[in-house]
Amino acid sequence: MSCDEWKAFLQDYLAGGLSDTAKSAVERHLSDCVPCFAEVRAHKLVEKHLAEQPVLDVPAGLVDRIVDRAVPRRVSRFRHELLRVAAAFVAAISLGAAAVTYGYTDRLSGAGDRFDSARRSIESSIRGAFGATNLIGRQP
Amino acid sequence: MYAAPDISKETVLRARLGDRAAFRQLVEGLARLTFNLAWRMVYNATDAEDLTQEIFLRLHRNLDKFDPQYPFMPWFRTLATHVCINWKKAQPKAASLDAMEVDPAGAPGDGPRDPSALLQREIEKLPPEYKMVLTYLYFQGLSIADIADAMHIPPGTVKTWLFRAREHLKEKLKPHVATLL
Repeated sequence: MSCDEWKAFLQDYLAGGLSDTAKSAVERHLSDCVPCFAEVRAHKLVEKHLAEQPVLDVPAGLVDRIVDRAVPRRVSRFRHELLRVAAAFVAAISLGAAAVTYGYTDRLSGAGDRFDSARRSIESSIRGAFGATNLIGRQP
Repeated sequence: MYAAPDISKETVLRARLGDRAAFRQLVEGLARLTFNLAWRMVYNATDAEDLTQEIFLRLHRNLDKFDPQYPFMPWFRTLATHVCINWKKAQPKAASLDAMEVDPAGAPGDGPRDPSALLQREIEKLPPEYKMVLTYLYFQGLSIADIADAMHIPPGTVKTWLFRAREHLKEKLKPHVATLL
């Protein structure tokens, strides 16, 4: 057989699709034929090179950048409302604590202005948290 | 060989509903595969990063088109294939299938002498479709049928492209191999 005829077998040989008998025949030919041997060797080098290309690690921060671009971070409406209620709660507790403290001090020292000033400041904070809603009444 | 990641359908469906954590899980699971696929298309870390981002943005935009009756990975491969091939074609000087000939090899002294470096240079010059079939076969170990499915082409076309790509590389390498014998 000529090398061109062997070439048809070489494809199957490389793909591992030959019977043992045919495989032995091809290998006998390869041991005698430099061009066919070069063909098979080149083919195997190509496969080896392709199979051995490195598996690269994902660059640092790439996943974060992708997720941030695809699904921009935003505070949910529920979470936003929750934060407002929490802020109002903290402010109310502070107001209560201040009222007790300054009321006690006021009785001791008679400094009523300091209590009014603190009260106004805390009420202002609560209004900030609730927007325009006035939950604790108007200023005297 | 890089095995396909195990992506649960539940994660995909949650991501589809806008669950940020689920989408993140999806990206984390697929990032290595996708980045390497992109890198094998462009052979440049910066472009591979951009291409990876583009694949995932397209995935996010198209999640509602995924039919949960079918497995996720083949659907994702098809999407990634389209993004990669279109991206590469949009770049200047992209090789075309028509221009791709199994041309006679250059002289052994022409270009890199190291067979591995020579092969790498030739792989980079292949048209995107050829790179894609080589990557699916040698990097992911997909069958011809799976490659055909991912690329929406007949199995015969996959075989032809594989043959032509390998033939081109082999012809480029042969003179160098002959000197090594």
